[in-house]
Amino acid sequence: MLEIEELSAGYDRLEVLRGVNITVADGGSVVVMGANGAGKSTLCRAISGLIECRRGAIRFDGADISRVGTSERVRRGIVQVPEGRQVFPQMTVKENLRLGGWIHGKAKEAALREIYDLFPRLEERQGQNAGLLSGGEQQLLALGRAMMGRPKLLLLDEPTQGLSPVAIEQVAEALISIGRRGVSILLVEQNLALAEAVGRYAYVLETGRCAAEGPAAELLSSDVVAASYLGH
Amino acid sequence: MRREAIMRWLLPVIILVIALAAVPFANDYILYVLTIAVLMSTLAVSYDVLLGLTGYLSLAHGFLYGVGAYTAAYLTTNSGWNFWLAMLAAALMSALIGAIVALVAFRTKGIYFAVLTLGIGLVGFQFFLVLEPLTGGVGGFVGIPGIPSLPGLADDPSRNNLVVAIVLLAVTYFAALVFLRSSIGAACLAVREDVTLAQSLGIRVGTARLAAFTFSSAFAGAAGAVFAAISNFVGPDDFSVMATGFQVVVFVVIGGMGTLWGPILGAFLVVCLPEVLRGAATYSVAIYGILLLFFILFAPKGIAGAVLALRRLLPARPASVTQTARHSEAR
Repeated sequence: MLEIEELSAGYDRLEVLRGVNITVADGGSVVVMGANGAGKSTLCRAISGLIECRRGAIRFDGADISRVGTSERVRRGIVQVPEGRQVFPQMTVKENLRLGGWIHGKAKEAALREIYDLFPRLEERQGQNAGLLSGGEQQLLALGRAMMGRPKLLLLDEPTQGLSPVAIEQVAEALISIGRRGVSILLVEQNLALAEAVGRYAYVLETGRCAAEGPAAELLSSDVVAASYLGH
Repeated sequence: MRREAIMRWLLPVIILVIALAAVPFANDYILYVLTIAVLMSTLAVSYDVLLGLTGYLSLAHGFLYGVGAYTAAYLTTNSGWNFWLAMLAAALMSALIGAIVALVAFRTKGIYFAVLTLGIGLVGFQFFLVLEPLTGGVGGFVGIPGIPSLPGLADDPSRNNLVVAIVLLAVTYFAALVFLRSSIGAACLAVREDVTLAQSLGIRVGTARLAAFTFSSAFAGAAGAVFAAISNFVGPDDFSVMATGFQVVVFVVIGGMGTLWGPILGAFLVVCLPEVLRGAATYSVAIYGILLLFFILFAPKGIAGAVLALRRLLPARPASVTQTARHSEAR
């Protein structure tokens, strides 16, 4: 589904990603781990088109999307959940969800119904301003909003950042449930427990390059991760 | 229904009823002041779609209002167009010019956007001065035909003008509400709140902003057309940045940005206050200045913000049986 070949990207003169190769199979679930500054968020931004791809190629469903704009990438099915529980705080839960389906025209009630079935808590809070939700609820809202975009590939940039253990469990359950629906997942995460629960294949990023890759269960318990990510 | 939504519908209806009720009793002078206040309200509502929805401060709105006024003036006076068709053409012309301005101006942001639109406003003013065959130059455009009479108002142009201005305000207001509730309006709000997040949802930032600017310009142009017909004369000074360009910002800031109904109150206050203070003409400018200071310092969300804050101070009503049942079901 997603093939990234020798991808280089960055900001101004700073090249953050230097020749990254990553593949996500159709319906697959891939985790990208790495220490702070390794280029995980930059990778997400490059895939979703928020920053330019300087060299290399990003192919999605067989087509080269390296020069395609963010809006078109979302239309084709690449939807990102940005870092840090980003919701529109002044808008209600329902308004946030509707915005998630913006690219496909006016959100249908049936689409909202599906999200409410997936996250019943959001239905209870649908009239409430998103800024008043708890951290965990905001993250579920961000996930629900992304699902309104009918993603084929969901990009998640550290969805557990700053969440309580209970909320992390909720997010893990939600991601597993989303994965069961056939949505491919590319999860950028520092939380080992969530990475192990969700990922089937894993990559370790180190200073903008893939330092290791392999089945998540093996790689995440290996010395490579301990050395490059946990620092021992 | 939320408080703001109630105000959004209720207040314009109240203003409409009061204005229409005043029509049979007011003299020509009061009718003229009311007409100008209603027209400025239309301009303020159109501007609120831009400032309130995108957060971008444009100082070219007076120029776009002028484009509408001159277009209608030229078409009705020199080409013999029917006023209503000329008003439509004026709205389209302002929308077109507005879209071009937007394409240039949205390459910048923040203070640079404001300065760039200030420049466009100043250049536009110069165009009004030098394009004499089209605009009448310094002397202005004279002899513009009045608004055609509505049924029952044939002998009363003052009342006719007021009714037309009220209808235009109502159309502008409800069009703005529809715009706000549309998917493009939601996109504008999302872009205003967080550009990157909006982009990550696939929202086309440029398209959303362009739509808001063009919509806003079209209704400014329509207001300009009515102004030209009411005044029977337009001159460059009516559309200068220093006059209308800044004044419309004041209407919206005093009224309450992004509320649509607040700017109507702002426009009424700013237009009517000098008339009310005619008895104390020496101090009227000072009082106007103090009022501005008051709003910026003590009511930064404008009249609308103050009204909503007052409503929040009122004791909450006990939940109705239906509401309680609905909450229990939800649980």
